[in-house]
Amino acid sequence: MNPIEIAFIILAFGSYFQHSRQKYFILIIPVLAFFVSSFHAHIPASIEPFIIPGIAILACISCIRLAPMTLLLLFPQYDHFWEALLIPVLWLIVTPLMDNMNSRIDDEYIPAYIRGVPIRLISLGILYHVFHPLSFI
Amino acid sequence: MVDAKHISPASTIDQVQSNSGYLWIIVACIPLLFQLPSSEVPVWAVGLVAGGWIANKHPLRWIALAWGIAVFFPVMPLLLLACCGALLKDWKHCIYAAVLGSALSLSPIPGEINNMGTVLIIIGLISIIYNKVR
Repeated sequence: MNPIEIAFIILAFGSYFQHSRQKYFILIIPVLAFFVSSFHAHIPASIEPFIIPGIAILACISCIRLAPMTLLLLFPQYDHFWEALLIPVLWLIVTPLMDNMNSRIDDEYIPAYIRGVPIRLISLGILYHVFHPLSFI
Repeated sequence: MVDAKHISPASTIDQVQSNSGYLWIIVACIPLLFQLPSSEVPVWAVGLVAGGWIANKHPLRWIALAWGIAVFFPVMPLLLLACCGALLKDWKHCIYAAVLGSALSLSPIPGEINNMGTVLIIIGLISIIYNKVR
C-alpha cells in the first residue's frame, strides 16, 4: 500500500479520528517512521524487531482514540522523505475540500439514500484518482 | 420538517455510527490492497476473528495479538493485523471483514480496480443500493 492509499483510508474513517491532536499525529508519525526505516542499518539487530511495535505502543498510550490512525500511519514502508510528507500534505488539502463539500452534499435536494456516508465515500474515491498521479513523482 | 431542537446529540451519534457501518468493507480490502500472499490471508482472517473476541476495542491488545501471530508467522506484517483490528468497531465487523477479505483473496480481481479510489467508489455504490433497498 502506498502512502496515498493510507491517507485516503484515514480520510474515509474521518469521523472516528476527530481529535484535537489528529493533525500533530499525521505530521509527526510518518516522518518518525521514515527516520526509523532510514536508520535501519544502524539499529542493533537485537532491538530492531521492537522499534516499530514500541513506537506503536507509545503513540497508542499517548492518545488511545487515535490508535487506529497511528497504526495505519506506521504501516507503510516509506522509501523517500517525500512519501512521508505526502500523507500530511494530502490530508491538509483534502480535509478542507471535504469540509467545504459536506455542507452541500448534506442538502435536502440530494435523495436520502445517497446523502451522508455514501456520497462522501464516492467523493473521496474520485479525489483519490485526482491525486493518484502524485505517487508517480 | 424536522425541528433541529428535537434532535438529541445521542441520536445524531447513533445515526453517524449506523451510517459508518459499511466501513468494515474497507478493512476487508486492506489485504487485497497490500497484496498479502493468499497463503497468509487465512492467518489474517483467523487473527481478526480471534482478536474480535480477545482484543475488541483495545488497540494495545491488538498490537500484542499481532506480535504473537508475527512470531509464529513471520511473513505476516505485524501492523497489518493490528491496524485492521483497531479500525473495526465490534466483533461482528471482525467476522464480516475476515469472511469478505478471505473471499476477495480467492477471487481473481483485475489489477486496474485494485486501488483505494475504486474500492471507495464501490463501497459508496453498495451503500446507496443497500439504503435504497432497505
